[in-house]
Amino acid sequence: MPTFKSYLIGYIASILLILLAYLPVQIHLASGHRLLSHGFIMGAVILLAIVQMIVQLIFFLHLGNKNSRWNIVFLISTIGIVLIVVAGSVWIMTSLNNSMSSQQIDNYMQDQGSF
Amino acid sequence: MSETTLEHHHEKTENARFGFWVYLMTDLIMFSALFAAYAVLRNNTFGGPGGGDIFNLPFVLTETFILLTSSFTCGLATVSINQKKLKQALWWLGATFLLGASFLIMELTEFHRLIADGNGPQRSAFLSSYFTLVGAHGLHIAVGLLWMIIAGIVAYKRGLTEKTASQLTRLALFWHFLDLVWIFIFTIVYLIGVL
Repeated sequence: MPTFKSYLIGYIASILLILLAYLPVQIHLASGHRLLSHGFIMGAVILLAIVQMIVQLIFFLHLGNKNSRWNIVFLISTIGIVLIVVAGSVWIMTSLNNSMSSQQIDNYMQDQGSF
Repeated sequence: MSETTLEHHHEKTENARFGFWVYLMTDLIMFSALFAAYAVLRNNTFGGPGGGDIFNLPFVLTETFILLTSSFTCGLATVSINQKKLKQALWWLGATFLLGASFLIMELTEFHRLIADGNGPQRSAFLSSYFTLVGAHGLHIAVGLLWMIIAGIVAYKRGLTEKTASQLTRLALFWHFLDLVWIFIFTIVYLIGVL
Protein backbone atom coordinates (compact mmCIF):
# COMPACT_ATOMS: atom_id res chain seq x y z
CA MET A 1 0.00 0.00 0.00
CA PRO A 2 1.45 3.41 -0.97
CA THR A 3 2.27 5.58 2.04
CA PHE A 4 3.10 9.24 2.65
CA LYS A 5 6.64 8.20 3.47
CA SER A 6 7.23 6.43 0.14
CA TYR A 7 6.04 9.47 -1.82
CA LEU A 8 8.21 11.77 0.28
CA ILE A 9 11.30 9.62 -0.32
CA GLY A 10 10.59 9.56 -4.07
CA TYR A 11 10.04 13.33 -4.14
CA ILE A 12 13.25 14.24 -2.29
CA ALA A 13 15.32 11.73 -4.28
CA SER A 14 13.93 13.14 -7.55
CA ILE A 15 14.78 16.73 -6.56
CA LEU A 16 18.35 15.71 -5.73
CA LEU A 17 18.74 13.77 -8.99
CA ILE A 18 17.44 16.70 -11.05
CA LEU A 19 19.88 19.11 -9.38
CA LEU A 20 22.72 16.59 -9.76
CA ALA A 21 22.09 16.57 -13.53
CA TYR A 22 21.42 20.30 -13.84
CA LEU A 23 24.42 21.75 -11.98
CA PRO A 24 27.25 20.16 -14.07
CA VAL A 25 25.57 21.45 -17.24
CA GLN A 26 25.40 25.00 -15.82
CA ILE A 27 29.01 24.79 -14.61
CA HIS A 28 30.04 23.60 -18.06
CA LEU A 29 28.26 26.54 -19.72
CA ALA A 30 29.57 29.08 -17.18
CA SER A 31 33.17 27.92 -17.79
CA GLY A 32 32.75 28.62 -21.51
CA HIS A 33 32.50 24.91 -22.44
CA ARG A 34 35.93 24.23 -20.91
CA LEU A 35 35.13 22.38 -17.69
CA LEU A 36 34.05 18.73 -18.17
CA SER A 37 33.77 17.20 -21.65
CA HIS A 38 30.59 16.96 -23.72
CA GLY A 39 30.67 13.19 -23.85
CA PHE A 40 31.09 12.89 -20.08
CA ILE A 41 28.16 15.21 -19.31
CA MET A 42 25.93 13.53 -21.90
CA GLY A 43 26.60 10.09 -20.43
CA ALA A 44 26.18 11.35 -16.87
CA VAL A 45 22.82 13.11 -17.40
CA ILE A 46 21.37 10.12 -19.29
CA LEU A 47 22.51 7.80 -16.49
CA LEU A 48 20.92 10.13 -13.89
CA ALA A 49 17.65 10.17 -15.87
CA ILE A 50 17.61 6.35 -15.85
CA VAL A 51 18.24 6.29 -12.08
CA GLN A 52 15.43 8.81 -11.64
CA MET A 53 13.14 6.64 -13.78
CA ILE A 54 13.80 3.67 -11.48
CA VAL A 55 13.22 5.82 -8.36
CA GLN A 56 9.88 7.12 -9.69
CA LEU A 57 8.78 3.68 -10.90
CA ILE A 58 9.29 2.30 -7.40
CA PHE A 59 8.11 5.21 -5.21
CA PHE A 60 5.46 6.87 -7.42
CA LEU A 61 4.18 4.04 -9.64
CA HIS A 62 4.69 1.30 -6.99
CA LEU A 63 6.23 -1.29 -9.29
CA GLY A 64 7.88 -2.86 -6.27
CA ASN A 65 4.53 -4.44 -5.21
CA LYS A 66 4.22 -8.17 -5.40
CA ASN A 67 1.09 -8.05 -7.60
CA SER A 68 2.66 -5.82 -10.22
CA ARG A 69 4.79 -8.54 -11.80
CA TRP A 70 2.95 -8.39 -15.15
CA ASN A 71 3.20 -4.62 -15.19
CA ILE A 72 6.97 -4.99 -14.97
CA VAL A 73 7.04 -7.65 -17.72
CA PHE A 74 5.04 -5.34 -19.98
CA LEU A 75 7.25 -2.37 -19.10
CA ILE A 76 10.47 -4.24 -19.89
CA SER A 77 9.20 -5.43 -23.27
CA THR A 78 8.10 -1.87 -24.05
CA ILE A 79 11.50 -0.48 -23.10
CA GLY A 80 12.96 -3.03 -25.55
CA ILE A 81 10.81 -1.58 -28.35
CA VAL A 82 11.70 1.98 -27.30
CA LEU A 83 15.43 1.20 -27.44
CA ILE A 84 15.13 -0.42 -30.88
CA VAL A 85 13.16 2.55 -32.25
CA VAL A 86 15.38 5.28 -30.78
CA ALA A 87 18.85 3.70 -31.04
CA GLY A 88 18.00 2.13 -34.43
CA SER A 89 16.87 5.45 -35.93
CA VAL A 90 19.89 7.33 -34.64
CA TRP A 91 22.28 4.58 -35.80
CA ILE A 92 20.85 4.36 -39.32
CA MET A 93 20.64 8.10 -39.85
CA THR A 94 24.15 8.90 -38.55
CA SER A 95 25.74 6.11 -40.66
CA LEU A 96 23.85 7.41 -43.67
CA ASN A 97 25.06 10.90 -42.91
CA ASN A 98 28.67 9.75 -42.44
CA SER A 99 28.87 7.58 -45.55
CA MET A 100 27.58 10.26 -47.93
CA SER A 101 29.58 13.41 -48.65
CA SER A 102 27.71 16.70 -48.73
CA GLN A 103 28.37 16.79 -52.52
CA GLN A 104 26.68 13.39 -52.89
CA ILE A 105 23.73 14.59 -50.82
CA ASP A 106 23.39 17.74 -52.98
CA ASN A 107 23.55 15.68 -56.18
CA TYR A 108 21.01 13.23 -54.84
CA MET A 109 18.59 15.99 -53.85
CA GLN A 110 19.00 17.66 -57.26
CA ASP A 111 18.19 14.32 -58.95
CA GLN A 112 15.08 14.08 -56.80
CA GLY A 113 14.10 17.62 -57.79
CA SER A 114 14.28 19.02 -54.27
CA PHE A 115 16.12 22.15 -55.43
CA MET B 1 -20.96 -6.21 1.42
CA SER B 2 -20.15 -9.90 1.38
CA GLU B 3 -16.62 -11.22 1.13
CA THR B 4 -17.01 -12.49 -2.45
CA THR B 5 -18.41 -9.21 -3.84
CA LEU B 6 -15.56 -7.33 -2.18
CA GLU B 7 -13.06 -9.66 -3.80
CA HIS B 8 -14.86 -9.31 -7.09
CA HIS B 9 -14.66 -5.52 -6.90
CA HIS B 10 -11.01 -5.66 -5.96
CA GLU B 11 -10.28 -7.88 -8.94
CA LYS B 12 -12.13 -5.49 -11.23
CA THR B 13 -10.04 -2.57 -9.97
CA GLU B 14 -6.85 -4.55 -10.47
CA ASN B 15 -7.87 -5.51 -14.02
CA ALA B 16 -8.72 -1.92 -14.89
CA ARG B 17 -5.37 -0.81 -13.48
CA PHE B 18 -3.50 -3.33 -15.59
CA GLY B 19 -5.49 -2.41 -18.71
CA PHE B 20 -4.64 1.22 -18.15
CA TRP B 21 -0.99 0.30 -17.70
CA VAL B 22 -1.08 -1.39 -21.13
CA TYR B 23 -2.41 1.87 -22.60
CA LEU B 24 0.40 3.83 -20.92
CA MET B 25 2.97 1.50 -22.47
CA THR B 26 1.56 2.04 -25.98
CA ASP B 27 1.68 5.77 -25.28
CA LEU B 28 5.34 5.31 -24.36
CA ILE B 29 5.96 3.75 -27.78
CA MET B 30 4.38 6.81 -29.41
CA PHE B 31 6.66 9.09 -27.38
CA SER B 32 9.67 6.96 -28.37
CA ALA B 33 8.94 7.65 -32.07
CA LEU B 34 8.87 11.40 -31.32
CA PHE B 35 12.11 11.13 -29.30
CA ALA B 36 13.74 9.25 -32.21
CA ALA B 37 12.65 11.95 -34.68
CA TYR B 38 14.04 14.65 -32.39
CA ALA B 39 17.35 12.80 -31.86
CA VAL B 40 17.83 12.44 -35.61
CA LEU B 41 16.85 16.01 -36.53
CA ARG B 42 18.26 17.99 -33.62
CA ASN B 43 21.33 19.25 -35.54
CA ASN B 44 19.40 20.18 -38.70
CA THR B 45 18.90 23.83 -37.80
CA PHE B 46 18.88 25.10 -41.43
CA GLY B 47 20.83 28.24 -40.48
CA GLY B 48 18.37 28.93 -37.64
CA PRO B 49 19.03 28.83 -33.91
CA GLY B 50 20.15 25.66 -32.10
CA GLY B 51 19.08 24.48 -28.67
CA GLY B 52 21.79 26.50 -26.90
CA ASP B 53 20.50 29.74 -28.47
CA ILE B 54 16.84 29.44 -27.51
CA PHE B 55 16.54 27.30 -24.34
CA ASN B 56 16.32 29.09 -21.00
CA LEU B 57 17.57 26.47 -18.52
CA PRO B 58 16.52 28.10 -15.20
CA PHE B 59 13.00 28.54 -16.64
CA VAL B 60 12.83 24.87 -17.66
CA LEU B 61 14.23 23.80 -14.27
CA THR B 62 11.37 25.68 -12.60
CA GLU B 63 8.87 23.92 -14.89
CA THR B 64 10.44 20.58 -13.96
CA PHE B 65 10.15 21.26 -10.22
CA ILE B 66 6.51 22.36 -10.60
CA LEU B 67 5.59 19.17 -12.46
CA LEU B 68 7.52 17.00 -9.99
CA THR B 69 5.75 18.68 -7.07
CA SER B 70 2.39 18.10 -8.76
CA SER B 71 3.31 14.41 -9.10
CA PHE B 72 4.05 14.40 -5.35
CA THR B 73 0.73 16.08 -4.38
CA CYS B 74 -1.06 13.63 -6.69
CA GLY B 75 0.56 10.81 -4.70
CA LEU B 76 -0.69 12.41 -1.46
CA ALA B 77 -4.21 12.40 -2.97
CA THR B 78 -3.81 8.64 -3.49
CA VAL B 79 -2.75 8.21 0.15
CA SER B 80 -5.86 10.16 1.29
CA ILE B 81 -8.09 7.99 -0.89
CA ASN B 82 -6.65 4.83 0.64
CA GLN B 83 -7.39 6.30 4.09
CA LYS B 84 -10.98 6.99 2.91
CA LYS B 85 -10.54 10.74 3.42
CA LEU B 86 -12.35 12.14 0.40
CA LYS B 87 -12.22 15.81 1.36
CA GLN B 88 -8.48 15.70 1.93
CA ALA B 89 -8.02 13.82 -1.36
CA LEU B 90 -9.93 16.51 -3.25
CA TRP B 91 -7.76 19.24 -1.71
CA TRP B 92 -4.60 17.46 -2.86
CA LEU B 93 -6.16 16.92 -6.28
CA GLY B 94 -6.92 20.66 -6.44
CA ALA B 95 -3.27 21.46 -5.59
CA THR B 96 -2.16 19.02 -8.31
CA PHE B 97 -4.46 20.75 -10.78
CA LEU B 98 -3.09 24.23 -9.98
CA LEU B 99 0.51 23.05 -10.29
CA GLY B 100 -0.25 21.22 -13.54
CA ALA B 101 -1.99 24.29 -14.94
CA SER B 102 1.01 26.48 -13.98
CA PHE B 103 3.29 24.05 -15.80
CA LEU B 104 1.13 24.20 -18.92
CA ILE B 105 0.98 28.00 -18.84
CA MET B 106 4.77 28.18 -18.56
CA GLU B 107 5.15 25.81 -21.49
CA LEU B 108 2.73 27.84 -23.62
CA THR B 109 4.60 31.04 -22.66
CA GLU B 110 7.81 29.47 -23.90
CA PHE B 111 6.15 28.38 -27.17
CA HIS B 112 4.70 31.85 -27.63
CA ARG B 113 8.08 33.51 -27.10
CA LEU B 114 9.73 31.18 -29.65
CA ILE B 115 7.04 31.75 -32.27
CA ALA B 116 7.06 35.53 -31.69
CA ASP B 117 10.84 35.54 -32.32
CA GLY B 118 10.30 33.79 -35.65
CA ASN B 119 11.48 30.43 -34.27
CA GLY B 120 8.23 28.53 -34.80
CA PRO B 121 7.95 24.92 -35.97
CA GLN B 122 8.34 25.93 -39.64
CA ARG B 123 11.80 27.48 -39.02
CA SER B 124 13.83 24.25 -39.20
CA ALA B 125 13.63 20.46 -38.87
CA PHE B 126 15.08 20.80 -35.37
CA LEU B 127 12.28 23.15 -34.28
CA SER B 128 9.57 21.04 -35.97
CA SER B 129 10.65 17.96 -34.05
CA TYR B 130 11.05 20.00 -30.85
CA PHE B 131 7.53 21.44 -31.03
CA THR B 132 6.06 18.03 -31.88
CA LEU B 133 7.71 16.22 -28.97
CA VAL B 134 7.19 18.89 -26.29
CA GLY B 135 3.75 19.78 -27.68
CA ALA B 136 2.61 16.13 -27.54
CA HIS B 137 3.58 16.04 -23.86
CA GLY B 138 1.77 19.35 -23.24
CA LEU B 139 -1.35 17.97 -24.90
CA HIS B 140 -1.26 14.98 -22.55
CA ILE B 141 -0.97 17.39 -19.61
CA ALA B 142 -4.01 19.32 -20.88
CA VAL B 143 -6.01 16.07 -21.15
CA GLY B 144 -4.88 15.12 -17.63
CA LEU B 145 -6.09 18.47 -16.27
CA LEU B 146 -9.49 18.01 -17.93
CA TRP B 147 -9.72 14.49 -16.50
CA MET B 148 -8.84 15.87 -13.05
CA ILE B 149 -11.78 18.29 -13.19
CA ILE B 150 -14.21 15.56 -14.29
CA ALA B 151 -12.96 12.90 -11.85
CA GLY B 152 -12.93 15.46 -9.03
CA ILE B 153 -16.55 16.50 -9.64
CA VAL B 154 -17.72 12.88 -9.97
CA ALA B 155 -15.97 11.86 -6.74
CA TYR B 156 -17.40 14.91 -4.94
CA LYS B 157 -20.96 14.13 -6.08
CA ARG B 158 -20.98 10.35 -5.64
CA GLY B 159 -18.63 10.07 -2.69
CA LEU B 160 -15.78 7.62 -2.34
CA THR B 161 -17.07 4.38 -3.88
CA GLU B 162 -15.06 1.50 -5.31
CA LYS B 163 -15.66 2.96 -8.76
CA THR B 164 -14.65 6.57 -8.11
CA ALA B 165 -11.59 5.48 -6.12
CA SER B 166 -10.51 3.19 -8.96
CA GLN B 167 -10.93 6.06 -11.44
CA LEU B 168 -8.77 8.39 -9.30
CA THR B 169 -6.08 5.69 -9.04
CA ARG B 170 -5.84 5.49 -12.83
CA LEU B 171 -5.67 9.28 -13.06
CA ALA B 172 -2.78 9.26 -10.59
CA LEU B 173 -1.03 6.60 -12.68
CA PHE B 174 -1.43 8.78 -15.79
CA TRP B 175 -0.07 11.84 -13.99
CA HIS B 176 3.01 10.07 -12.60
CA PHE B 177 3.65 8.65 -16.08
CA LEU B 178 3.63 12.15 -17.61
CA ASP B 179 6.10 13.34 -14.99
CA LEU B 180 8.38 10.45 -15.94
CA VAL B 181 8.21 11.30 -19.65
CA TRP B 182 9.03 14.92 -18.80
CA ILE B 183 12.23 13.85 -17.00
CA PHE B 184 13.44 12.44 -20.32
CA ILE B 185 12.37 15.56 -22.24
CA PHE B 186 14.22 17.69 -19.66
CA THR B 187 17.35 15.55 -19.99
CA ILE B 188 17.47 14.82 -23.71
CA VAL B 189 15.95 17.98 -25.18
CA TYR B 190 17.04 20.67 -22.74
CA LEU B 191 20.13 19.54 -20.80
CA ILE B 192 21.82 17.85 -23.77
CA GLY B 193 20.40 20.47 -26.16
CA VAL B 194 22.36 23.35 -24.60
CA LEU B 195 25.73 21.54 -24.53
